[in-house]
Amino acid sequence: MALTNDIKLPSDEELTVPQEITLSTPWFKAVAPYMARKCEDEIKEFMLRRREEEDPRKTLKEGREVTACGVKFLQALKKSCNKEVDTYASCIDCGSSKLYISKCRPEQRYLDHCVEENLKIERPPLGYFSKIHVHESSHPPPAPIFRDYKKEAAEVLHSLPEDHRMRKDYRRFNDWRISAFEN
Amino acid sequence: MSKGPQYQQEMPPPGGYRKFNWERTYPKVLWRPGVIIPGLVGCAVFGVYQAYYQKKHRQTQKFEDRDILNAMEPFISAERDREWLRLLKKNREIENELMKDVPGWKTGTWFGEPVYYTLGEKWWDPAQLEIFAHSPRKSQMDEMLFHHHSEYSAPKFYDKWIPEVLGRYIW
Repeated sequence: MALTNDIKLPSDEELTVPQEITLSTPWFKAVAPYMARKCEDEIKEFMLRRREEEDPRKTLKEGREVTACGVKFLQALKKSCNKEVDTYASCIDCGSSKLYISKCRPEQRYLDHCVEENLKIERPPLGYFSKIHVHESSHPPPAPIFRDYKKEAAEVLHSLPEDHRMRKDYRRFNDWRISAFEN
Repeated sequence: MSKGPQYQQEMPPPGGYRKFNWERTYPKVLWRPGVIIPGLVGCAVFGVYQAYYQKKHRQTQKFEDRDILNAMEPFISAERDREWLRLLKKNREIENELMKDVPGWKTGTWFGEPVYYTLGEKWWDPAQLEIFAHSPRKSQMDEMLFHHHSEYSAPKFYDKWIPEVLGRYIW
């Protein structure tokens, strides 16, 4: 977009979170199903708004909420199931180069059991995160912007001087393309 | 007949030699058609069976991996959005700093002429050239060629023998 100074970018406070999720991939893969299941509402809200707005500046608050929820879950998890997650994560790390979790079923079952007991979260079945979920959001979708292109074009053309077709400095792009056949 | 000179001849022992098999012996045919063809057919059937189940396993494995990545995506996007905006802010500040003495320059435009004419209020991500304009070339190549490196990115055992001059171009 080549951001000019007029475009409003968020302040540094809006861009910082008290604690970021700093997990390595094996650890993240080990806890991802439970984390996403726990923080489902925040995630759905964030992803929906992100897709609708198409503007990262507008969804910073929801993003912060998602990260905070994840951090809270991780803190609770580390208190109760740290050992199981560690074994599972190192198994994933050593199991395959693509870090597939299919090599580590026994450790996964231990972790499932531990999480179900302590945190009361059931591991979602395979394919849960690839399905479409319906989310009733309290926020209405953004209103579609209909621009009057003819009006804008008329304004621009009206502001040009009388002899703009003859002047070279009013045609600053595509010169290299049309100069062979046109003047 | 008159008797000639008497010689000692080597004769068989009394009772003759023991019996031995002087018949023609043929080798035992192991690899006969009755064995080869069922063997090949059996291998083919086993191969088909194995291919079917291996493909299923591979697909499930890949699908599961994608599922987990879908679960991870929101957390990563939230962090990435923040990092992205931080980077764009930093680039704009650097540009302001660099071009403050150049007459006629406005940040984000070409001497006042905007890059996009019809965007209006819509947000549009800057092009790759602009994002990496103030970053070292290595970060741009890392970003572009991300898929060329394996999942393992920690130092390897031979890294200590590669001179730094070469080492910074190999990742």
